Amino acid sequence: MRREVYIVGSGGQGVVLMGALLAEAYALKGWNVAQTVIYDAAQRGGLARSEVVVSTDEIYFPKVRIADVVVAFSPDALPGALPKIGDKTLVMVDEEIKDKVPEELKAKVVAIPFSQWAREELHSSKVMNMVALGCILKALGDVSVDEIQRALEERFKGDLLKLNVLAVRMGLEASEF
Amino acid sequence: MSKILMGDIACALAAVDAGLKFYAGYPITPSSEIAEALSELLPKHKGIYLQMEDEIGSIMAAIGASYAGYPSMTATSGPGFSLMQEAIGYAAMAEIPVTIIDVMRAGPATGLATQIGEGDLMQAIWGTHGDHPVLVFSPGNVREFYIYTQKALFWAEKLRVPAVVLADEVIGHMKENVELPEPIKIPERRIPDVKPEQYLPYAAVDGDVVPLPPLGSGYLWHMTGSAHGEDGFPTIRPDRVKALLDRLISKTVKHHNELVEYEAYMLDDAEVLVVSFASMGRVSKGVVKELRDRGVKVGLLTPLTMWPFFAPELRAVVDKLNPKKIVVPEINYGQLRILVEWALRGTSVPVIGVNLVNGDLIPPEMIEEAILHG
Repeated sequence: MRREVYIVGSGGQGVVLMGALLAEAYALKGWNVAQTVIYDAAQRGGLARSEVVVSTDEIYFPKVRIADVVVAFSPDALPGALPKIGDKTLVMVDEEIKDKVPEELKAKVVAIPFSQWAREELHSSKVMNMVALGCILKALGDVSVDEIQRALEERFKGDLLKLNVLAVRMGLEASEF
Repeated sequence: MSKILMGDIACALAAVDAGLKFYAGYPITPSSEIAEALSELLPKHKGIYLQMEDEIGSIMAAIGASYAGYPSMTATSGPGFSLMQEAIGYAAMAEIPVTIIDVMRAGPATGLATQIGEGDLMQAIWGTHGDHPVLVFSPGNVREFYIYTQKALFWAEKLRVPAVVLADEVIGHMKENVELPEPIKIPERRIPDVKPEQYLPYAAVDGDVVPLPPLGSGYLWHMTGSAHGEDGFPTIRPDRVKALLDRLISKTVKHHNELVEYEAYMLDDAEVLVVSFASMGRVSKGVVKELRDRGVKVGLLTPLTMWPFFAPELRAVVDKLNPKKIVVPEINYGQLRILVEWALRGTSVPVIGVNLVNGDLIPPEMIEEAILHG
């Protein structure tokens, strides 16, 4: 069994961290994982892409071929994701960029208010990525928030840890698609 | 449970676990994480981390530290590797062990700063001027990055040569599950068994160069990039120059069997042979496995040592299998293919390149197409 997730956004939106956490969560469940990144030469801004491939078998090709799930925070990133999108790919975008989705993708896209929820419910727009990560967990259904929490504990503690876990939980519980 | 490790971090851990004592570098994507990790790790392991002003300074500092007795290393990517070339020749001529990690990105020049290329193969082997010995290893996954960093450090010391590890952006930046093997330790520098005044730093015993004593142990010698005699002082005497260069070149030849490593995969009855290295080696392995499952008779050779090249070993496989063709996928315009063709000169087996440089891995479909219809 192989799952492929392709996450795109702007540098600084937490795209790389999302991919890393997702990969670590699957590894905690005993899956083989390969997580790769592509980003522009900038700390903020520019495109950032994170590719997560997890498999119960050995992984030879470590990049996404046809994604099971694509998450996009930035409309600029979507045209580049087109070759990774197949008939069964679930494409989730932040609701705020819904109107900027390329015409050929509109029918496939599910718009979810990642950033709005993060801002209004959790008072931190930064954890938008964790809300989206929760939605990915829901879509794939292999790992739970517990594994993500263990991966988060390697990086955060105290209130920051709680906030991130809360955001993942929100995405996981709220998403209906 | 295995742990998840980024390739660059595995390289840094490998160096520390092997006993590295000195690192000098100038950060450059996609190798920067090696410097970042070693800046934290080395001081905790009685080692020195030195941030230099550029790559020329970095390799010269690494060579200097090695001369002083500290096993040393630097890491860079294509543009920095180009700057290091002159010093690599110097290390080869002065016979100072040094290890250079080159995490390849797409070139030429600044190229694609954050994306994969595999175009530094020729430069790693023949980048510096003049004929010189060098070792080049190339890992295909995170675990191999750990192993071959240690092998490079080990053999650099053992043979007093520069050793290069050619990783690429995908291996450097990829995180995957890995179980690290027992570390290969860098051999201790030995004090020569003669008195300091009798010590000849460039004399040979059984064809190999004599031990390199650390500075401060009473043994002082003259180090130069100019042709020199056994005592290290410059010479233009033809017999001495010849003896020196013959001996330098013979280092990799003499230890060929110990140095050359490669993986053979599904070679039995293969009618098509794939030869591929670094990240494309693992991608090719997946293609070969998939095609074997469908009954296609295809096998794979993945060199892990790029120099000395596994020419006789490859030749033996080809002589035995007599394949219809050889397919060489690589993220450059045919650098490994040239080596394969050279190894197989005189045979009539066609060698087909699968070449794509666009910042990404070559898609498996392109390799499959070449195997089936190329």
